[in-house]
Amino acid sequence: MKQAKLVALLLCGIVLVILPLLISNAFVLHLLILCLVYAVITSNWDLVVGYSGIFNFGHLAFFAVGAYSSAIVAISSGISPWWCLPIGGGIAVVASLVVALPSLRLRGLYFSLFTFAFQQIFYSLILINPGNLTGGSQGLMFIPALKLGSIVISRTNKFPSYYLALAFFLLSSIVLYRIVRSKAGLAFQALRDSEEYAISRGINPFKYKLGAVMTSAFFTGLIGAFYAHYMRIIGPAIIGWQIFILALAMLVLGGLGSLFGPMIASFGLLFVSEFLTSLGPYRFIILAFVMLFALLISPGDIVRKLQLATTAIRSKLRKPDDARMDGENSEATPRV
Amino acid sequence: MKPLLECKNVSKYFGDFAAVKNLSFEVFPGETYGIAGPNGAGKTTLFNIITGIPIHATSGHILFKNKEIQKLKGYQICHRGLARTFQIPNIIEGFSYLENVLLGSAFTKPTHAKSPRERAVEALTMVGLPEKKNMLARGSSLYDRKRLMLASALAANPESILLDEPVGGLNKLEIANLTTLFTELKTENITLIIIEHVMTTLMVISDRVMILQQGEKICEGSPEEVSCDPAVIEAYLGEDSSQLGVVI
Repeated sequence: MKQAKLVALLLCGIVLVILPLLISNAFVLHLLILCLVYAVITSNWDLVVGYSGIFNFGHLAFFAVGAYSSAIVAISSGISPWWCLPIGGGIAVVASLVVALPSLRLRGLYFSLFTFAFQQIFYSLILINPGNLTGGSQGLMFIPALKLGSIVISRTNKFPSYYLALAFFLLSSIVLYRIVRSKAGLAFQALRDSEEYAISRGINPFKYKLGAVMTSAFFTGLIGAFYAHYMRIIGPAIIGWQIFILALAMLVLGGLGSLFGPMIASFGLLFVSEFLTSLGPYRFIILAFVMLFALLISPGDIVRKLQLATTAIRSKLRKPDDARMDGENSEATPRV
Repeated sequence: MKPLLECKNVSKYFGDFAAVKNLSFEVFPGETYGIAGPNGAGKTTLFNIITGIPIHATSGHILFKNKEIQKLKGYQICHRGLARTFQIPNIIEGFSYLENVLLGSAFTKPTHAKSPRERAVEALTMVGLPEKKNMLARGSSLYDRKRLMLASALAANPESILLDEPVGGLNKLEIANLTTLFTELKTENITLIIIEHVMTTLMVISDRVMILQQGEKICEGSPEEVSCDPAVIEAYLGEDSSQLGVVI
């Protein structure tokens, strides 16, 4: 089972590396870059919501904080945009502390409302345009592009942009994978499933929850910063309802606590969303209904369903007792 | 000998209602201390306030190894060497048996050369579940769940474990097996504090027993002394003392 997973991951990696070589259409390449951006957003959101059980509805704010802070620093200071990327991620971490420190002790709905309010406050701040920093409803334009020697990495040059997005995606995915398979991952899931039990075994809930929020904020802010320099124009829409619904649909359809599920859903749903572009804003209503329908008829996620399907096939090919043990062992690899 | 755990005038109020009222008792190292009483006597509340999960005492002092712990957080109390199990086995369904036990060993300070995984396997072996270590806990029997909770508590390398109804709901054979296990734990010098309604088990394994009623101690002593105490017979069994032979 482990080997099969490894082979599947390697194949996915190879496909992602060679994909731009096979695609000549610049728009499709642009969509693939956005898929990678969404995959980073949703997989990091999944670390917080799915793995840690922290219903943070302000996650997109970290993306916007990363994008805006990186763009503002690059425009106003003139320093290399490469330095602005970690700055974007770092400021998103600071923003996560502002949200998490007062709110993590709140439970359930209260925490969700708090984070949701934070996102709305940030959205309002962008529109208010304090100190003429955010550009208000017009957003920020002419954000400096990343450059590697003579190679410009922006939406006018999608080939290198794709590989940079892929690098961030792989970095984020590897770190997240290592985290969820580590002692910290054990703590996140234990706190999610039974906080009292986790505490009774010596797990500091505040420390681990804060760690989850900060980690997710960093990578989300980092990819937000990349997005700003790739697009070279950002506006309040990046934190708006439509993007929120799309990212939420990716998270829910991909499956909470599955890590790879939201990544797969990011690729699928972004293309579906683009396919429905002719419907204008109605496409987001359709996406919301797709999400609700999927939740109603089949709660769960893509990855787990694939696992169940493979387990069912394997159990038919083997003796019943062996197959049962194999199915039960499928997720049971010790992490410490 | 100094007590390992000491409760001094501990009270817990929910509004005007006293769940635990001015309770004092001591538990000594290596001792097995039983706690019994009718439903609503405050037994589980007492465990909750000793371990700080999820509540703290309204007043009074709780000392563990001669240091006050009543204001510490639950995880800090665990780090001090006080582990607990829950009345309803509170395991993580999506974890394997081994991962459930790793929760106990991975987050407490290592006190010897063994790795968390080695300690977890050792604890699983102690409770008789080594062959199931890689199975998912989802769908496991009550007996397995009770043993898993105990194993994860043991893996935390505690000096004392608070066991909340560890044999409740089990059949006679399972109770007998766990009773044997508790007796073995005494030889490991682990101090056990046990809440149990199955009085046969409690009386067999306990060195001393405390009986609670409506949050107050009505009797404390050896199992023999407690089982003969008129107040206990009155409070625990009501007027029908003919049950005495059945329960105790």
